[in-house]
Parts: sequence; structure tokens; C-alpha cells
Amino acid sequence: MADDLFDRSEFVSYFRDETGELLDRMDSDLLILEENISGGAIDSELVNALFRSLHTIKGSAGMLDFTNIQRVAHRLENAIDLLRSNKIVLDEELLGHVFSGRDLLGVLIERAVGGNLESIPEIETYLSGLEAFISAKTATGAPGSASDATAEPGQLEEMMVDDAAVAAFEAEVARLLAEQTGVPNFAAAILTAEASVASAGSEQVEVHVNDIIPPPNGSAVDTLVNDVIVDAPPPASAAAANSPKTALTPMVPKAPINSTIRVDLERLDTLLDLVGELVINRTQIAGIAHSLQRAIERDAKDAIPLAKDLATSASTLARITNELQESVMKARMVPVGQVFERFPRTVRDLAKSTGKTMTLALSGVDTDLDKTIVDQIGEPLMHLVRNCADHGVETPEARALTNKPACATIRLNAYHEGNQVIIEVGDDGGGIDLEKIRARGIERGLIDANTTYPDSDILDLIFAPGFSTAQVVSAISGRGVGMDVVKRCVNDLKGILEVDTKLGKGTTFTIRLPLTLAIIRTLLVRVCDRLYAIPLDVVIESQRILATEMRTIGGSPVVTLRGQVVPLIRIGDMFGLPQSDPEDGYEMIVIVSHKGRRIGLVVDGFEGEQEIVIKPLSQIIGNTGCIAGATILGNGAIALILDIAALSTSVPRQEHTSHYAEASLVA
Amino acid sequence: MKSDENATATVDRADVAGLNATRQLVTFALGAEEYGIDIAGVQEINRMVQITHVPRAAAYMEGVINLRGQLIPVIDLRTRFGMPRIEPTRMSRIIVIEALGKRIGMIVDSVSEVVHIPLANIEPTPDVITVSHAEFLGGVGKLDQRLIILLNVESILNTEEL
Repeated sequence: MADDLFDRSEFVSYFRDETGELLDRMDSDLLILEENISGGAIDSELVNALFRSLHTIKGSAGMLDFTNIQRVAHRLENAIDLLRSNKIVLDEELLGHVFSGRDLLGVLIERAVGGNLESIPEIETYLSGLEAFISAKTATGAPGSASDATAEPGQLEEMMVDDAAVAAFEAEVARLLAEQTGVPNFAAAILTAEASVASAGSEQVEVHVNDIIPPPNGSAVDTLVNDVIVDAPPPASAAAANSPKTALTPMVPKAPINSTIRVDLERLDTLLDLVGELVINRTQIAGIAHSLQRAIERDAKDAIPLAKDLATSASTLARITNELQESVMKARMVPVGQVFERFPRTVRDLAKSTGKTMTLALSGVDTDLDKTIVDQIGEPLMHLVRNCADHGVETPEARALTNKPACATIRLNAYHEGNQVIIEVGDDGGGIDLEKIRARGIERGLIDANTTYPDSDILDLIFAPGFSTAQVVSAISGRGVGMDVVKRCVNDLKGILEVDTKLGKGTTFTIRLPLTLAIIRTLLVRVCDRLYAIPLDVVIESQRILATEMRTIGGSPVVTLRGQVVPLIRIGDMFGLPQSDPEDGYEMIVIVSHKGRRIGLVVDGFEGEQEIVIKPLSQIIGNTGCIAGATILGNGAIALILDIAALSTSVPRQEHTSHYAEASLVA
Repeated sequence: MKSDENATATVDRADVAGLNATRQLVTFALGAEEYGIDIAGVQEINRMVQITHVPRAAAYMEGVINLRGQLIPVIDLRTRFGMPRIEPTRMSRIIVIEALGKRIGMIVDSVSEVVHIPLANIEPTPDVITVSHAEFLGGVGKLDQRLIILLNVESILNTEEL
């Protein structure tokens, strides 16, 4: 069925994105179903949604000849259809089957996207388990199926072939439809086929041609098969109805295919509106230019009102382009919820596997984050959530002893702070026992037994490579996930990982990430006729002080502000710029704060606040240790952004006691 | 260097035969020497513009320029090649080259022309050249009486120091 009529790689990447979303959707639907399972009432909308998700996956897989995926999705779809038509009841066991089927699909999709179409033994294991379960369930209620439950294994084989044939047929139709419409939209191309297992024991496939779907582009598709009813017997299997194991991990690293982004339609509409305005503006300006030319030819005085019109149009243009720029920035941002939404499932699975009770509390899911960061933050977050569940959360018995609610809470929170995005992963578990860490650190030779270290240094040991928290903090063996890996991932994203723990109360990991590509507010300063930008969130104050108030400590300039000694950096000196004498004996100082430490930057003048777009400097320039990036100002000039974190490391750390203020005067 | 027997034909015939017989170079001057760089690697040639100096970068790193909203690092090719600096003149140009997804501007004394040079006329860099920038050179091309020193775009973008 494979052909060259459509760009396969493009379809594969659509397939990956689409199925990824569908699998996430299935997870959340299944979790809600599971939550309400005891209530007895099944939300039929959720069941329908599950069915649709599976159906779309099946159809999409069929178009790409991913027959394994197609088969598994088809069987799952059948099972959900039985549930939908009340032929089987929703119970934990069924959900377990569907959950593991969803995970199997996840594995198969990753393999298929990576080009690996080989069958894996888990498929047969899973399918026979599912069929056995279904036939056992339906055997009690449906007439005629009792005998089938004891049928020969050969019949099962036959049934599988039949399934595959039907699926292939559906896929072929779907492919034809896609070809006709020319739109690589799987959801639209998939037939609205209804597959149902009838109670009759015969195997037959009925195809009803009863509808015409008008293609979106109006091209002629005369007849389309849009309803396929599969009448198949309840499958028989000799296998016992044992619950399949959830051995397959859904966390397979994503194959690196072209990254795509789904943009909120509203944001695209804003963009479109702005472009529309831009077009109107263009026409206006062209009109004015034309009139201006004629006016000047007649009498230059006539040109004066036109010049005013031009100025108005120019300011409109400025506004539109500014908004356009901002909107394009926003289009790159996606809510962090896209990453968070996979964790309810993770926590559910972890609760099952560890025997602990815990829930996940999500907040700040609407916090926008750059797409590239969202794509890469998932893995470290997954490690942290697992760490919380494995090592942070205590057993229900232990929690009862400490008067905590039996159900532990793992928190995932995100918010903006300055030009950073903060993501917190926390638990209300036992916290990290610093004494155990210390003992382990001494044992590993990482710290000296006779030295007293601050708690923060001890805590930092958990990020040392190969430092196993599993052996230290809890008896439950870990998944071989080192915290050093998490730290490295966060560092790679130019972020900072912090940990805060209280013994008996819980642990919170805080990830601080930069908002790359973000528009930030800065203070523009002038040094030797060059402009530099300082991110406003680090600026404490700007001061005009007498040059004679500056002192030195060990040769380093300092100033005393309200009794506090603040080290100074002369930006001009540091950058090798010509010295400029301070006007009327006053120096301009910007006081910045980094990690609670204050530093004064000596500049020639303040040029006010401005919102800027951060542009990274080319890697070719190398690490300058003082510049974080650059920006282009309104007049086209470039202003470099000072890297306060790097600058602060160049200042020697001093004790901030006041007697240093008595040090010698600056010569 | 690829040797092609047919390339010994006239320049005109090589043209007809296609680019495999000749190399198309943008030539420029640096001091008394004439350099050539493969046209495929050249993005554009600009007059001198305001260059924003980047502090604490390498000596040959002149700074960054704003090229239609993109920041492009600019190197002074003279400094890079260990030649004395000169003040920019009316003839000075910034050649923006691109390879391996990276872009860089190079300040040169002046840009001369675009030439086709038969592959057969390109020889490996002579051993006598032991100048500091030998690693950037991709041979020497002879065209009439001229000697054109070929620069390798990728090596300029790829050196460790850069």
C-alpha cells in the first residue's frame, strides 16, 4: 500500500505529534474514569473520547502501514466499543488492560517513528491477554459466546487475519481520501468506521456504502465508504485471563524529527489582524508618497499636511510592528501544562508500583514557556517526580504515625518571576535526612568527617554524580536515576536547580529557567558613549555619588551605602574603554543584586528603562564572561546585555562589616 | 584538490562544461595579497557599518553588526592573519560568509571581482607558506599573472579559537 504520492516523512512527523497528543488525552480520560470507577456511573463522553482517540490512531497508523500499531489500536477499540455498548462493565482490570494497551501503543509508535517496524513479542502477549479477558467477561452475558470462549486457538488466528484485512481496507480508503483532499489531516481523513463485535458467532464483514463526505477543497470524491461494520465473534483464547504487566515503560526518548509547534488559534488570529493592519498601513504610506510627490511638483507648501500624514502613518507602523514582534514571540511560547499533563499518569503508576497513596496537584499550568524549553524539561521533571514518589513520600503506615493524611501530595507548580520561569516539584513526604547524606558523603570520601559544613553544602551532595539517594534516603530501590542527571539537564537549559527540604515535612525542588527569546525590561546605561542593558529585575537602585566617597579594600573599589559596603565594578575599566572623568565630581552607580549579593556598577550615565528583545551572541564570539546577549534598539544600534551573574563572580567576596568602610580613600 | 583533465581547456569551455571544471571565487585584497573565497559560501558583501565592540572577546573579534535584525559577529581578517591593523577606508568591505549554519562577517581591505578559475590552475598551498593562517588556506590559484590565495570558508568558521 506504500506509495510515493505523499511526503512520507512529513506524514510520519504529523503522526508522531498527533498520536502523542492522543495518547496524552487517553491518559487523562482513563485517569478520570478510574477515579470515578467506584461510583458505578460511567461517563459515556469519556468512553466515546477514548474510542475516537484509538480510532484516529488506528487510521493514522494504517495510512503509514504501521500494521502493528493498527492491530493493537483496533483491538483496544473493539474493547472500548464493548464497553460503550454495555456488553462489558468498566472495572479496574479492564482499565489496567487499556492502560497497558495505551503504553504498548506508545512504545510501538516510538519504534515506528524511528523506522523500526518489527513486531515485538509484547504485542502477542498483550493481545492474547486482552482477548482472554474480554471473552471471559462477555461469556457470562452474551448469548452464543459461551462456546466461542472454548474455541480452538486456530480460530483466534483467523480472527487476527480478518482484523488486519479490515484495518488495511479502512486505511486504504483513508489514504485515498487524504490523496483526494490533499490535506495531511489524519483526523479528517479517518473514516468514521464503527467496529462492533456482534453477539452472533459468525465471522463476517459488512460494508455499508451509505454516505458521501464532501471533500474540503471541493474536488470530486464520488463515493466514500464511511461506515464499516465488523461483525466478528468474541475471540477465543486458551490463555488465562491474567492481568498483563505494565512492564513497558512509556518514557522512550522522542525521535528527533522536525520540531513542530501548535499555536493557540487566538494568537494566530492576532498575528493575522496585525498583518492586515500592516497591509492597510502600506497602502496608506504608498498613497501619501504619491500625493507628496505631486504636491512638491506643484508647490512645496502643499507638502506640509502630507508630511504630517506620513508621520502619523509612521507611528502606526511602529505600533503595529511592535505588536507583531510581541505576538510572534508569544507564538513561540507554549503553556507548561503541555509537559505537566503527562504526570497524573506517572503518579498513578508510581502509586500502584510503590503501594503508597498519593495524588498530584498541578498549578500554574498556563505559565508560558519557550517551546524549546518545554520540549526538554520533561525528562528532568520526570526524574524529580519519580524521586518524590520513590524517596520522598512515606508509606501510608509511616504517614499515619506522623499524623499526616494517608494520601500524600506531590506538587507541580510553575510561575513567572522576573525574566525567569520557576518550576517547583515538591512532596509532603519525609524530607531528606541530612545526617544520612553527611554519613554517606564521608563514606564516599566526598566530604571531610571532621569539618562542619553548612546544610546547603551537605544537601548539594545529592547532585554529585553516582550519589545514590536510594541507598541513603529510603530503603526502596531507585530507578537508577541520579540527581546529577537532573542537574545536568537543567544546566543545559541554562537553568538553576535548587532543593529545599525539611525533615518530616517534605522536599521541594525548584528549577529556575530563563525565558529565552523573551522581551525583558532593562535599564540602559551609557559607558564611554556605548549603551549597555542591565536586566531590570536585578537592579536595586541607581545612585549618584561623590567620587570622593569611593574607597578601596585591597585595591578593589567599594562604596558604603546605608552602612553596607558594596563592591564596585568600573564597567569602562573592565571593558578596556577609555576613561571618562566624572562630571562635577559625581559618579553614576547602578546597584544590582545577584544571589542576595549587592554590587555597584560604575557607569557614565543612565539612559532610562526600555523593553528589549534578547538576541543571543553567536557562539563564534566565545565566552566573554561579562555579556549575556545583545539587543537591537529602536534606531538600529546594538546594545549589549550585561551578564550580572558572570560579573559578580569577578568581584572578590568580602565580609560586609562596617569597619572596612574605614579603609583608605581612593587616590 | 580534485584534478580534472578537461579543466585544462580554455576558461570559456570550462564555463560551458559547468562548475565542476572551474571554481567561482569572490576575490578581495588584504594588504598586497589577493585572496579568493568560494562564492557559494559568500552571503553578501557590505560597506563598513557601525560595529559594536564586544568586550573581552578575542583581539581579532571586531564586534557584532546588525544585519537586518540579525546579529552577526565580525572579525578583522588582517588581525586574524597576523597582519597590521589599518583604519577602515572607503574601499573597506565586510564580507558575510555562511557555512555549517554559522555566519560571520570578515573585514577586508577591498573587494575586487568575481572570477572563474579552472580547477587545473589551482595548486596546493606551497610548503614555503608557514604563516600563522596556513590552516585557512585551500590552495593557490593562478589566473593570468595573478596569484589568488584561496580561503577555506569552513575552516574560518570552525577553528577552535573562533
